[in-house]
Amino acid sequence: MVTIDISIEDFSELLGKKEALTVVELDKYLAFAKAEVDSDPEGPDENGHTKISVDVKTANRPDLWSAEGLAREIRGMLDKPGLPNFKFPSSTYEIIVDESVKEIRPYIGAVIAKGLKLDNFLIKQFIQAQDKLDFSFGRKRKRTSIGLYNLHLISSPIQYTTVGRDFKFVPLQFDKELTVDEIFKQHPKGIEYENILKPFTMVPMLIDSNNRVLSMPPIINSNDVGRITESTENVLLEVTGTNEIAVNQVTDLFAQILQDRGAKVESVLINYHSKTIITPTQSTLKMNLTKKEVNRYLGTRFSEARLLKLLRKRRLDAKDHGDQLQVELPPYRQDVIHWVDLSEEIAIASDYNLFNVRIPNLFTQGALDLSTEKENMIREIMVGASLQEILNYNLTDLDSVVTKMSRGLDFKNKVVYLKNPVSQSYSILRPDLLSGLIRFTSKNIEAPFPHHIFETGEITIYKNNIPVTKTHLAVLLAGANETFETSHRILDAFFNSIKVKYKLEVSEMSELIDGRSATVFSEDSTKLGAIGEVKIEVLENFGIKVPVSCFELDLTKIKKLKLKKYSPNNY
Amino acid sequence: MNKVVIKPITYRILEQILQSGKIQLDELTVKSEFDPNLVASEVESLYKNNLIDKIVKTVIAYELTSRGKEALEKGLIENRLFQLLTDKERVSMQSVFQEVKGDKQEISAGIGLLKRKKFINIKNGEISLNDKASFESFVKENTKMLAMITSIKPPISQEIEELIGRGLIQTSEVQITKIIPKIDEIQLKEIKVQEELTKLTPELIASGRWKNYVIKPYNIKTKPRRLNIGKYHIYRHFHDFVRQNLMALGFQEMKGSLVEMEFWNFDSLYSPQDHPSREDQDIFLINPHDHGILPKEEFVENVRETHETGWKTGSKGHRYSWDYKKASRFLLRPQGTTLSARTLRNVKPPAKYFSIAKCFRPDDIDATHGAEFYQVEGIVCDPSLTFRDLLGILTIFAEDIAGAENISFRPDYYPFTSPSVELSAEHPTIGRIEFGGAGIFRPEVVQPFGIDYPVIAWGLGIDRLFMVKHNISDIRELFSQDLEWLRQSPVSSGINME
Repeated sequence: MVTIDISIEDFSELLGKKEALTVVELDKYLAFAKAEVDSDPEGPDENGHTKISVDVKTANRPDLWSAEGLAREIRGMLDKPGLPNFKFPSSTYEIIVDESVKEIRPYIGAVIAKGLKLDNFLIKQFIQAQDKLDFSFGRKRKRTSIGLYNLHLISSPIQYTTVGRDFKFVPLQFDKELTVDEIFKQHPKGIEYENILKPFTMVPMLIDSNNRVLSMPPIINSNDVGRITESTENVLLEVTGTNEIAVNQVTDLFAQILQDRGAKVESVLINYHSKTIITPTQSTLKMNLTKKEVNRYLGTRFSEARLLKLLRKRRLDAKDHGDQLQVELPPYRQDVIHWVDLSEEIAIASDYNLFNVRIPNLFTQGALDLSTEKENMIREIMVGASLQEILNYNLTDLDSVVTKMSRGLDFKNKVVYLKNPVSQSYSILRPDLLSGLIRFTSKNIEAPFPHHIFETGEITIYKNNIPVTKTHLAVLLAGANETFETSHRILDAFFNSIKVKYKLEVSEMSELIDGRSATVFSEDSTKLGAIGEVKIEVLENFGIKVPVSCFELDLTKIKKLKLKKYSPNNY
Repeated sequence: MNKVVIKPITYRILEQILQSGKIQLDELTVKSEFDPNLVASEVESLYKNNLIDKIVKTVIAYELTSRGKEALEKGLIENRLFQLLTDKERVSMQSVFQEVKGDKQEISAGIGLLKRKKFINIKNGEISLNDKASFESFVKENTKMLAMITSIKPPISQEIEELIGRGLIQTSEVQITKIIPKIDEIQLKEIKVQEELTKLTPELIASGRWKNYVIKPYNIKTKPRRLNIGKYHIYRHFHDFVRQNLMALGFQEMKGSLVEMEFWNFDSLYSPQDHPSREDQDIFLINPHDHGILPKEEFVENVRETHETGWKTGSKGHRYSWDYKKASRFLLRPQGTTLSARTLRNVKPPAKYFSIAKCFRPDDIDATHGAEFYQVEGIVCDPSLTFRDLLGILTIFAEDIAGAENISFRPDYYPFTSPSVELSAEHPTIGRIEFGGAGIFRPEVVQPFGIDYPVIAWGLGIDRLFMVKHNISDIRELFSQDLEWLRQSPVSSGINME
């Protein structure tokens, strides 16, 4: 999802509306471009622009990440069906691509726009479109990045070449020459994007025939040619990158933005030595669509003529070949990779809300997963024992699971850590339930005791280096009269209720009192869990001042329950 | 009167009657602190036992009407007029109505009365004081009279008749029971009191000795100590109901691991390996063992080829070199669709699946975002399905799971479906709320698993649904750490609580 700011007045104008749209109307139109209003309107400001944020949901449609792109798409539904113009006259400008960029950033595309009437608002809109494309589609400029220049200061041909790290020029926002290495150390953009060029000793550079530097792609423009102001009328836009299709796609879609803003757009010759191409792309993308197939997929009975009309409403076009339609798409529609994508365009054009919905009549047998059934049974037993069910987070912190519980390395070694936690409090997957229940009680010392609580749920630990998810049950009794016996009674009632035999063996446990705790075994001596009174040191760590008695069982070890444990490698 | 045997409570009341000499029934009730009905029935039993006499009289009782109560609170109309006239000496009739707040008719009546009593003069539409002293004492007397009505019974006088006439006081007939003891202190001591039982014991019941006692009554109006019953967690209980409803619609439950391999979350769902959503800021990765082992099955190769060239799915593919290692990286399940992807391995149509899956995303934690949340999602598989069925399924969910009306559809985007739909409903106060999404799995998703017919994938935001239904604004409350809140939360009987 990409969020952009637009001006309601400007957007209404782009849609060809005489009056500004209301927010409700705007949101209704945006639906056709898979976008929606995301904020309350703000303004209008002194230039008559009411600002509003728009969420564009399409991660694969960079052509929709601008006001111009959204409006272009929506106008297909209103008054401008069919392909937008993408046949541009050639300019006299040429970019010569040096062999040396091949290993670093091999591709470039460019377009020229003349007669632009730039104002502060429009410059900001262009910068926004550029930023969104660089960041998301361009993978933070690694895959593609855009540069805009004052055409007036450029003379053709332009060299797309490489230079050494001691090469000097004045970068944007600076007033003195810096070497490439100095830019990486001193310029904010240099610092931000250095990683892209870090592996290379030579760096890409765009230089015109008068040896004026345009920019060091994808890092920073020069401070003169690379500066756009309100008085700039003619611009050169270039896109460099590592993926040819993506580079051309961005060039093609930005040419449309410039055209939508009333500029006279011209193409640029790109000379790769091995081949010469003209950008923006002058041809359409093509895909075949079978009438029968699309109708079968959507559950519709559209005629060829109707399909053609619907496709045109989506800024596409098609030639009728009987049962087959040959669909033509603007060159920037690289997102269409299968005819099902065209079927979606047809569905959107005919409005989802006007479809005759059908309730499928399929006989299937509903069922809970066996483990849910068993877990529900166990929850019923616990509620029957007058316990309150608790729902804790799966993410927790090492401190309350290991340190405060006075547990050791054997426990710590099983813990699954997050590599990229957002907060220390949520930095591991819980390896047990008991520590969560103890912490729960510690947060509720104001609530009248006794606390009789339980939880069943998923825990995750490493077993043989594989993160395994299992279902546990834990019970906690906290209060003046709670002893080993009070939780033992519940444990006993639990096993009796499910008709499973168990036995207790004295054993030392880090968090339970010696002599008042035990390991719980099945009849065949499988270790199922532990029961006992919590050590005073542990209670003190949690600030609890009443006796606590508890037990925890690994339900996947009770064979009769047949609960599954899950390893991501095989289930 | 010999050998009279009475209950302890009867004896206590009789004692109190003797202490007072003569007493009215209502006074006795107050003094004894027992329930009025109980005192009345005990007095009756004392009368039958010839221990007391009673005289019943009918009297007239006075009480304030609702207007009388209001006048006492806000001041009588003559009081308000008096204040106005002492302040201003002369007041026009018009301004009287503006300045003396109250019912117009009442004010006119008040002015008439005061004029009749010659306390005021009316000349040329102006009111002035005539006899200030008499006016003042009249006001004071009447105010006193009203105040007294609430405490004691006043003597009948002309003033009270006037207030009755003005509708400030009303009368009614009431019965007064006067009680006179027929025995003295010495005789009282001869009366035998039956023994009282505070606690019933099994022994008393078994032996039959209970017959020798009377059972002491309890004050049944005492509030009991609170009982904390065993209860399901309110949000898990909601999950239970959602499961039941989906089961009733013929859906079968899927379950799985909290830690998944990227293959099942992304690659099998046709998300390219360099897609921004696969970067650290959108998913949780784990340590120290961070990669799994891909299954050695044909579908892995099919997925690879589909990404690289489109394979035989009719797609152009993503056109890049697919990396096995990247696909085997572990992550915390960020979406429930992972479970559906795994299920594609063994689907036999017609089939419907669902899961309520715990999911994890590294969002900053605030009122509307949690690092973990639940998704209810699933698939419907059958060769007969179309886009219209997809919309139909969402309509059913809106009704049966969300209880929503006025639903609408919007085009949406998911990397693994086409077409994709967003489902929203109009909420009476919040406005349009999105609560679900769906689409038809792309051929690039299903064909690597040998499926060549439509599979509809759907998902509902169950956290959101619950929050809207329970008017909860903070997502953290779903995992409430507040025991008292859980203890006192109502027990529900289904998805729609209200």
